[in-house]
Amino acid sequence: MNFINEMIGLFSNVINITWQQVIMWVIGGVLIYLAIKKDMEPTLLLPMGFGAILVNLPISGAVDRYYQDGVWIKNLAEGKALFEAGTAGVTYEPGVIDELFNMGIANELFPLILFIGIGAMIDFGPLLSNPKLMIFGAAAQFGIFFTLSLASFLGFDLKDAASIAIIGAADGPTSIFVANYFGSNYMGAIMVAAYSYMALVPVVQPPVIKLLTTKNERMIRMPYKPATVTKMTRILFPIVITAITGIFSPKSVALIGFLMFGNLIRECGVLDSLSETAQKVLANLITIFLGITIATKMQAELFLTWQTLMIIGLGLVAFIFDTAGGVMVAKVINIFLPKDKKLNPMIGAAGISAFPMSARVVHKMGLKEDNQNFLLMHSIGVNVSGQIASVIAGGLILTMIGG
Amino acid sequence: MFDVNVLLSTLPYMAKGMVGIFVVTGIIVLSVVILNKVTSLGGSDNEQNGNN
Repeated sequence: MNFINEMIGLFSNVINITWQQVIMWVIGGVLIYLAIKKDMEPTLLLPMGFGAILVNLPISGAVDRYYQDGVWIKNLAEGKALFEAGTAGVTYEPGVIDELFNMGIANELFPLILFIGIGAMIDFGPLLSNPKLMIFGAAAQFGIFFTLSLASFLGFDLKDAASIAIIGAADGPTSIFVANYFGSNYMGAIMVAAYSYMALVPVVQPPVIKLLTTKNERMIRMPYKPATVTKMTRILFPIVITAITGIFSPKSVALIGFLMFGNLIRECGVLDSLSETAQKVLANLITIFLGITIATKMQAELFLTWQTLMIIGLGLVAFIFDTAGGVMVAKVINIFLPKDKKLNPMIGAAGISAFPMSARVVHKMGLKEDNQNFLLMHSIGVNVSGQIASVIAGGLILTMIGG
Repeated sequence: MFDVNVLLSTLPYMAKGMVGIFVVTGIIVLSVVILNKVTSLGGSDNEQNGNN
């Protein structure tokens, strides 16, 4: 009898499973499915999907747990509050995922290091060749500011609204950086929305572009005549951008600085080995930890709320209005351009920083309308501008709302 | 929830944010144009087309 009781005790954790956790397992499974079968941002969605399952097992040893007189406190917030209040009999066991979160995300380390890798991957040549393209990178951040207002209107407080709005940056590290800076409790939902919509750019953008442009506009050809870019320009560019952004948007200087440091390593010509490491090993290493660490914010209690659904919806709004902002500014500029210099307004949509998917979407749409219309280099130029502009937008949000 | 006054109070952020981003972008564009001009004066060493 004693043996049976001991065996029952051994498996007693089964009764701690909640329906909310089961839903999170399903959500984790869906993320893993989308990553593997649909190739949707697999580097992030797969670790996040697995992490979602890992942190939602009952009394998961992967995340922080609180006990009262040895009994697990199911409500995470309640346990934390009791522990922090110094309630007698309340104990705490740290979990590795939360430890990783504190070491890598709470102090903004992971997103910043990842930016070194991203900077090393980006060739700013098309942008340097035609710097005017940057205007579309700026225009395509409209979705961020529109969503900030909409999220506030829907009842989110200003800091959470800002964290949600930054989904429109279409840039994971910037979203993590801003949401973490504001201490948003919705980080899990924000990350899922940001990375999902980045993967869904080929689905989200074309209908918006088509809605806002005529067939004739989509058929406008833009011959590519690249200007010469000296090596000195390529080397000075990341330094100058860091200085300018640092002066005008000081809170984004860490983000832009690390991005540009990566690019300087790439362009200097004497650190090829470091550049290669930053692009591959470093970026991969951080990516592995980033996805699974974010999962701590996908604990059922934090994730299964109405706000999560609203955030998923608001993320879509941000991407739609980013796209619209870029396209509409191109259309306005076209009013002032002579007939033979008109821009194909679709390139404005590439100002959303989802790199390089957005540029490819525009290029493919151009080819679909006219199989001799090659927009790739223009759209790539706009796309890399969007990468810079999204960081600046994040910095401006931090400056305006972070106080 | 659905507070129009809150919506109105956030509109200045939208305006300031968009103006701010266009101003910073404008300064960057200007800097790149100047950078291209200055560095091209120094000769054609290691010059490359926009794409590499």
